[in-house]
Amino acid sequence: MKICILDYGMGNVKSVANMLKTLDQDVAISNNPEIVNDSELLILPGVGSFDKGITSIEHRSLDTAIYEHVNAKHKPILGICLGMQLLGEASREGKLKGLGLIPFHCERFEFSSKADLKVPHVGWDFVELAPRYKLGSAIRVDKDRFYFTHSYYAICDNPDNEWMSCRYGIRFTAAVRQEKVFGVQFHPEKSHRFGMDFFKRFLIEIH
Amino acid sequence: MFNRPRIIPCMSLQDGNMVKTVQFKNPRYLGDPLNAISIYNTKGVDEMCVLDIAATREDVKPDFALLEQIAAEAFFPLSYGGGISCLCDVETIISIGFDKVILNTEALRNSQLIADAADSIGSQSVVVSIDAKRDFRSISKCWIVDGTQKTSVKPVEMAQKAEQYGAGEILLNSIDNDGMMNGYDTKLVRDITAVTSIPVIACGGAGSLDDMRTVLQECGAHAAAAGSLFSYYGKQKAVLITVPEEGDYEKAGITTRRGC
Repeated sequence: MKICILDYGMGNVKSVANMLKTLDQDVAISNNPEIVNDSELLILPGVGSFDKGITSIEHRSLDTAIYEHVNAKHKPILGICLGMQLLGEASREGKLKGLGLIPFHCERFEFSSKADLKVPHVGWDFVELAPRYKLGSAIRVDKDRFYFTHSYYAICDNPDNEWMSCRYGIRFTAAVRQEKVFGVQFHPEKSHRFGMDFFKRFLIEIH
Repeated sequence: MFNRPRIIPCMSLQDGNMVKTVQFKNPRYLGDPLNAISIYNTKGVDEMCVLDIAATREDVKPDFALLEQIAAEAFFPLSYGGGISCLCDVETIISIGFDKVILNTEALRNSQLIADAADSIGSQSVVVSIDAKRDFRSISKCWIVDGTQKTSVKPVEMAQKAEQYGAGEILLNSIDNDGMMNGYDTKLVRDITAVTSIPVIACGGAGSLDDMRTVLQECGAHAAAAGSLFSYYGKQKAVLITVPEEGDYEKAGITTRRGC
């Protein structure tokens, strides 16, 4: 599959490419409109802050390219970590609007001192697939664990958009989806065999 | 829920080789870092710290070419420390495939770099490491430049400062216990976890999984790191890159993590 990992100057784009290449995918890391345009799957990775992320996307006119890809051509996109958060409408972390492809916003983990839970949530966790997405899905993740590192988490306006969930003090949305827009809060590219398996099944599912 | 805390192998690099020190001295050659990475991949480690133990001392930049090779092989979270002296180094490390940077000397001398790094790459990707060493009165101080320069800063003060400036984690290393395999400096770990609300990774001294259990379950450490424990086998310290199996952690009682 022709995959374009959007390079908007936010973090670890290389590791996503490294993993997809071991799965024999045709991967480009780019912000060149022609390559973006030509791709069958867009991946929006990202580490960093929300406002900086969205500014960097707009600065490179990638927002237009993403809307074209998703809305006009109905092709899939996968956001990872900050990339997932940017698919939503807003985040408590910043003041700017997100891409608004799925109706959700992000809140910060807040725990009482008694709970003694650290923020960010860093580490490996099992995720659970929402029941409505289990049937007929190539993705089976209930026994797989993934690497998380984040302080903010998505809250979906519509529970149907919740793809996977996880627990850290509270139950939170670990992945979102709506039609061909997908987002995962965890890092499949950093979750060795589990991440590899996730990508394999995801590519089957969207094919 | 997956409720085991993170166990993190620490890889020390010198001149492109994987080495292991004792009390930050006498680096012993262990092998090629890329070989170790491939073992860590197969075993599925939680995360790995890569530390260049000579870059700051020799005043050279991180070996970006080698780091890029490491990142291309490693499908798990990676952090890097050693010779990072400016924001551009921070951004380069992330752009070549690392997930976190570890700041030590520069974090102490110029704490603004912690804030600038957090602003650029996000606080979850900024780790401040503290190399602590006790004096003859058992008072702990921060040492910098690969453990060669003493400072007047107490580890507790540095930890609080790191958190204030926006670090997402603290890698707490005991110079006294490094490579001794006699257990962590549990008092040091307790002192730091008592005054910080960000995750603390305990490092230095692990000789067994029981040492890890102690520091994780009795001292408030969020994760346990080790070098020798993953690099040596047996009393003679034969070089053998090993990673415990899930069952071993369970047997050692490393089972509970908060929040699950």
